[in-house]
Amino acid sequence: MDLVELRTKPSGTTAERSDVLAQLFVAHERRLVGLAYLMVRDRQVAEDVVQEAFAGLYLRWRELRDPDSAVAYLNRAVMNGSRNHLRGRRSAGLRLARMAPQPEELQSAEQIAVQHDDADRLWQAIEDLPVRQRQVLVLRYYLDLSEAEIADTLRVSRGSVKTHASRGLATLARHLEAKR
Amino acid sequence: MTTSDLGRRLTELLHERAEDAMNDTNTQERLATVLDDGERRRRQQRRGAVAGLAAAAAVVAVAVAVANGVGDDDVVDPATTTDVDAIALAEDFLEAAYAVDLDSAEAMMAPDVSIGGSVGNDVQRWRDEFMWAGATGHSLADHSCETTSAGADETSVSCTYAVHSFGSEQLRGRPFGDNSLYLTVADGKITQVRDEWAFVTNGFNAEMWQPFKAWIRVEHPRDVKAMYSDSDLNTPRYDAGALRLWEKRVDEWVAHQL
Repeated sequence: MDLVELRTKPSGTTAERSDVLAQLFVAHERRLVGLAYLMVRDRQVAEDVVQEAFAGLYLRWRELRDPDSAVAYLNRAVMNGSRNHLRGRRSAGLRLARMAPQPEELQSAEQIAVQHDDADRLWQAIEDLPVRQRQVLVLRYYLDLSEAEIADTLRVSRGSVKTHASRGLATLARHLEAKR
Repeated sequence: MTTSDLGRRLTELLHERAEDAMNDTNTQERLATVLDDGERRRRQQRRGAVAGLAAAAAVVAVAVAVANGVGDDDVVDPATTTDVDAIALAEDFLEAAYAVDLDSAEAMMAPDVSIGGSVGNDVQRWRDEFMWAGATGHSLADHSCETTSAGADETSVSCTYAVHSFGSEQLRGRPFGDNSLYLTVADGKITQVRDEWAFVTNGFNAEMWQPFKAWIRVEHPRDVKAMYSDSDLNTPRYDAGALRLWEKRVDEWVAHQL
């Protein structure tokens, strides 16, 4: 049974549920781990957040059988799970270290140094944004979601998405300009 | 740097950093764990649902049906209001209200919500207060929410928050804090709201409200009746014309103070 078939078939046994969940997992797990990681900055935590999201989907199977709803649910659950984790971390007063620079193709040492510096600054500036602004920017620029899709994922209005996006971008631009 | 340049750099950076995490995750290895975990939780949920049904004499017939092998999809999810959900809802509510996204905030409230405190006693008055807050430059600066009690049916959340208003960002460089929001959440909806604005104790009254009142009496005496509903100038009017005047005059007053 595949996703399209399941969409038209109202009942599903446990085996069928597992089968389709497995397909969804294989298709989306890596992308969702990436999404969670951009919020929580810890791969292990990101994997846990994604696992929670899939466990939730498993339990809510009846209402989320439509594959489109299932993917939207997973995006939302990952963002909420990440936000909850950050809230707990903020309460504990912890702050994760910045990521190490990524490997680059062969370039001059100076170019590499400048690019790492810029990328790290931008990464740090993203980390310093309020969580809601970061969520909006990650959904926009990582998942390439539209304003309406972001609003639906975060359960806020499109106006609110616009406001958070524009404030977030303005802060990032100011931060980068100030460091030049 | 243009917005499109920044957007392009953001896209590249986010993909690059996410890719690193994705490359270290082993999808196939984790798949079995996730499915086992999901099935284990579903069984726990189902056992909970069946136990609840069995305890209620009025639904004995349903318990019998479950015992006779009712399918997976006949088990109804129990209400799942958790502390975390309630805190997230409180924060979303606060953010939406101060972004004057009142339709979204109102959608978070139950139809028979009970409202109290500085925002009046009904939804219309609550909307009026936040429309006025929006017109006078209120914006949420900081907030912190925590669960104060969690029962089977409802969760209580308390938030402390600070707002900028009347140009406080430019005029004093810090927001007015110590405001409190108390919410009760049941079935994912807010059933009680009590919003206490600490405008006397946090300095807003002395630093903004009273000086503005004195200024408007002198500079725009003819606007007073259109902006306030009482002769002591303690209560704003909330109609569209009044809100336009509030916005205009507060902007003017802030510019005058700078």
